[in-house]
Amino acid sequence: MENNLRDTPLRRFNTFWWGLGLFVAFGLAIFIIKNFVQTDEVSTADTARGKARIIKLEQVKAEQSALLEYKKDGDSVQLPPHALFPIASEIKLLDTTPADSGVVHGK
Amino acid sequence: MSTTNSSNIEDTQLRANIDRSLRHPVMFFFTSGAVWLAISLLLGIIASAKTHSPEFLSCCSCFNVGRTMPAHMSTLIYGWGAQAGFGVILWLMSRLSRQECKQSGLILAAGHVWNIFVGIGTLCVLLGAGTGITWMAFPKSVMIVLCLTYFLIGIWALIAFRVRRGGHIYISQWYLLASVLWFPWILLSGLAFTHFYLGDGHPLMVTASTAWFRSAIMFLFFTPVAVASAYYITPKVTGRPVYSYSLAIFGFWALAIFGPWAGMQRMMGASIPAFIPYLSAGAVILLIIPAIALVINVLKTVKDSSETVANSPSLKFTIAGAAGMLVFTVMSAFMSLPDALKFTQFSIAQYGLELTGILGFFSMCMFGAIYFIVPRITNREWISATMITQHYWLFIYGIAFISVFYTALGGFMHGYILEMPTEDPSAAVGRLFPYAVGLTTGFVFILFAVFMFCSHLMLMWLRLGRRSNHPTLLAGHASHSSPHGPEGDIEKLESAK
Repeated sequence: MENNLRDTPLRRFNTFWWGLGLFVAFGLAIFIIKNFVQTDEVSTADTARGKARIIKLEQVKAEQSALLEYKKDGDSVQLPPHALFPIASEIKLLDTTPADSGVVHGK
Repeated sequence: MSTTNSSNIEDTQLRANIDRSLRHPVMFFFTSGAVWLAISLLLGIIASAKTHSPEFLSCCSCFNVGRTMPAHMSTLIYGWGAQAGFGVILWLMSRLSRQECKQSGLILAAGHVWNIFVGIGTLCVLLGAGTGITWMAFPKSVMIVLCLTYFLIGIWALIAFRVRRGGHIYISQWYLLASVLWFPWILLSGLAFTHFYLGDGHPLMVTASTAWFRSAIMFLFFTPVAVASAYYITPKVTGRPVYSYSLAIFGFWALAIFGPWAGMQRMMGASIPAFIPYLSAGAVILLIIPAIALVINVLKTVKDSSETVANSPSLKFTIAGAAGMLVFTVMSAFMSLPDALKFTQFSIAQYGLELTGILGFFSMCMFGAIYFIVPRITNREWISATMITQHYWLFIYGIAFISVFYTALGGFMHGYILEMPTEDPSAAVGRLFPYAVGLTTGFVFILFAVFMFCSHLMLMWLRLGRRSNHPTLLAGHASHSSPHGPEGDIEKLESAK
């Protein structure tokens, strides 16, 4: 069988670093596109609105988790949703269909 | 004459050395991938069953649809799809480049890291710590580790290609090289942009990035690996060259040019520039070209070899995979038409289409490749032709049921219900009920098939396969006593030497 002149340690070493370089280049390209290409007026305004959305989202999350915590008010007890699954299964609450609730469909 | 014989012996020796060098990493990727496929199907069955029987496994919040569904898709993609792809890429690239693998230990270690982090990611999703992003449900830190681990696996395929023997580059190598280079691009871009936009508070752009990512993984990673495997298995098993090499190269460039543009058709009607979804829809329609090229090449290559097709498990699965690619691309094109998108954009059709692509096309080609590769790297033949036949037919029934009944009929029915706001809600639920049950039924068929495959593969990994020179054939018995020829003929040959 003929000798393989391509298979040299240097070529293997080079290819490893070229491969790593390509991997890093993909990451760099993404960084450049995000930070230096998307800098027009629309993107900047959108980013500012996005920040406001994030603040609102955090507020809603905090309020929601506060509402879903364990609470006891006299005889009634409020359980967090994950604690309800075994109970709901026990009392066959999950055997019903949405139509059984009697609530008019929201559409 | 003696020079030819000596060259043949050297060639056989080289192939045996390549197989031996890759035995452990490739078998590890195949077996762990098969186990993840079974886990994914179990999670899929739970998620699907809960849509028609909500009380099923309602004891524990980790079995919610909201958790089992992303866990099911993530294990299907990163557990099964990626690992089956890695195994096939490494083995095919080494065989076609005629190079032994010198870093099998490192690849095996990277494979372990990959599996550990897929496991951690799946647990995080099931415990409610997933990101909620489609196809990127694992926590960001897990995805970053998977990216880095991929480098340690994929780089050796690139090195094998660079130090290849001979000047000719086979069509399978084109596809394999493309998949090796495209995968990190897709993974890094999808991950970075999705998380950038998520951090910046842009839900619309998160959806757009994810839509592109899903399409790119399908068309630019799973598709080239599956096509490369089909272009290798078909001529190898039939002993004939690929029917048209220029058609195969044309198909490759069609995939490379149109593939990256697909995905945004799912954003039709969203507040992004209107031309983008139409451009993507056009690209998806044009992706039928590589599928037609593959189907023509495969069918023309196996023409007049009906007995070989009937006998060979690899070829049967590969032909089914090629047909699956055509079905998948035609369905994708049809669902990208603006008139059809009205019904399919927000319906179960999109999920059904993804299953058709991953299970009906990619997985079938991977099974074909695994049935071909495993006997070569373990030096054993598959134990049971019956198990292979059962795997084939159960899988075909399952995926055909999901594609036709759930995706096509159920998808359009769901879209029709969404388009009818006056529809009575109980009637709407009733209309979707049979399709949800149909999906579970399809998954159960596929799970049985995968159980057959998984147990067979495990036995092969334990080197409990048959010691015989005769491949396991599905029909046309060569001997009256055994469908595979005499047992233990390898031992006889060895003792004769």
